[in-house]
Amino acid sequence: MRSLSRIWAWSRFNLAEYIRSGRILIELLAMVIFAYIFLRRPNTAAIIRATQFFSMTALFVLAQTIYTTGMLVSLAQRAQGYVILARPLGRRGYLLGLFLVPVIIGVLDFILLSIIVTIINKPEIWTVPIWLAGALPLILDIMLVTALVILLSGLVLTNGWRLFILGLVALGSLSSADLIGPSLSLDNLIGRFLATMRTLVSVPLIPLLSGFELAVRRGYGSEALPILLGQIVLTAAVLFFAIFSFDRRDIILG
Amino acid sequence: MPDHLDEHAMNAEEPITATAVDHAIDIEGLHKRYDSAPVLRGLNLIVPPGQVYGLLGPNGAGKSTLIHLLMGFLLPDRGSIKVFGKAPGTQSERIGYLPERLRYHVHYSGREYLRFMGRFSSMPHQQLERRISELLQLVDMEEAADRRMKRYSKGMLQRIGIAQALLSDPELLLIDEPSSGLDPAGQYEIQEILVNLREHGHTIMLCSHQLDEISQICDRVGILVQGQLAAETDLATLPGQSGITITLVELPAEDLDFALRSIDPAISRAGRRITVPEVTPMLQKQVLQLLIEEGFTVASLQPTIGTLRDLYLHVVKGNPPPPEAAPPTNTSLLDSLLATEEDA
Repeated sequence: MRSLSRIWAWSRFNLAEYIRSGRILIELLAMVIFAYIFLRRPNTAAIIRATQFFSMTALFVLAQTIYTTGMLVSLAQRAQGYVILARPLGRRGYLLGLFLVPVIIGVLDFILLSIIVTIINKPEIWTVPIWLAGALPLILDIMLVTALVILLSGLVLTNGWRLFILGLVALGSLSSADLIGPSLSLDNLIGRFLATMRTLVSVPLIPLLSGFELAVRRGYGSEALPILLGQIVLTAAVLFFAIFSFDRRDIILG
Repeated sequence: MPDHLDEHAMNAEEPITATAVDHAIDIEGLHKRYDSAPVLRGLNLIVPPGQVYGLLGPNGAGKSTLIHLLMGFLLPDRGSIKVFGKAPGTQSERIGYLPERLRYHVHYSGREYLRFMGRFSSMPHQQLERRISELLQLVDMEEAADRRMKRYSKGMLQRIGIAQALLSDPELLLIDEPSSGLDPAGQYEIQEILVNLREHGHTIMLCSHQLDEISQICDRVGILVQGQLAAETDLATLPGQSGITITLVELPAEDLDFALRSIDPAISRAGRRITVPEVTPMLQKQVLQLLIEEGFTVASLQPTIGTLRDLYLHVVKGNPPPPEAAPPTNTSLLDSLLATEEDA
């Protein structure tokens, strides 16, 4: 319980600093521009649909989450962090408190955009269950993206490991067409090896992409629960690796 | 390795007692590298509770690295490092830390900053508020406590830094270059606060370039050169004066003693060796002139190590320390067991 209250205090400290330093204004400005371009109703006939709202907003919020997490990680990498790390909060609390802030900001962004769209361009069918059906996988994706950005930051991993994992993510993100060009047929040993590797390393990305799709389509069939569970498990695994690595490395801030 | 054996390995002559095990800082054979460059090379160091230990050393000697290892920010490559008998980073409540050139979250006021720092330690609200008021009074920051820290001078920031280090009333304070970047008035203010802390019985490890600061505050001093403790001594044992020792080729008659004492009564002679305990250029000239006039040949003239400054300059040039300031050697458990067997 004490640990949780310390982590929450650290998150509040970061959040307050993010707001007081004025960095939050960049996000608010981006949100206003996004809402003006994509969510307003240019004419009376152009009513937005919930699917359109979720597809555009999810992309925006996830992109903004990457930015926010990057900013907060850079703040946490300053020499100011030594005094915090010297407290009983510890290394794990430091990382978990940091993780919570972009999640909070991302969720607040999404809620604000939902309010804005309700006011300026209410979708055709727009109920609380519809909103929740899209919001849940999107919030889990926000958490997953935040955890991934923290894991891939210089705070947690050394440059060598970052490059290695980014390489795997890049390989996992490639389609077969990208991977296997005319000069590299599937019959080729290297081609088959790369295709197999791509299949393997893309497995961890499935919950992220499926979560996005679930947020947009909101089709809660038999596959919805495994997707949500996959998002949760992958987020926990990424956070576990981040903590594991952060616990075992020299901390050099500055 | 059990703590008591480990302790025994550190100093075979010391009896194994409960107090000996609970050194505030206990370092044995500590090695640390950055990339491929060695920073600490087999460092041995003990700081008992209640001692104010000053760590001197030129830039790059490894002082800040040592503090970061003690805080658990860095992990040792080899060797053992214990704070109150446990691994670094496990007893944060008992340790206060003031980093070198502390940078602050300047969007908070001094009071808010201390409040947050207290929350990271889970201190009960009322106790925290009381403690913050006490500390602001101690560092003389009550009036400015509610101003944003971006409006503070460097000296004020450093005083808030000291207050945050003292927040949980720690038993051990690790202070890295507290006067760095401060003007003389600011340095004096910080020294006053540290002298005050010393009187309150805290165990302190103070890293500094300022010999005066170390001399005023510390009981014992270690000089770190190229990642090793080059010298270590109690400040009280240093005479506090710089002198010279002149060695003659010939053994002089007792008449010379009278002539030397007529120049300065403090000059003494033992055999071929003449000691001038507090030397000035004029006094040195007079003594040498006398010896030449009397027809003696001077075999050597060596400065004696009488002050911390002398000792520092002596060892950072790579000279071996005088026997009374020799640092502890790295005694392994095997060595100490062998020594015990031989004694038996």
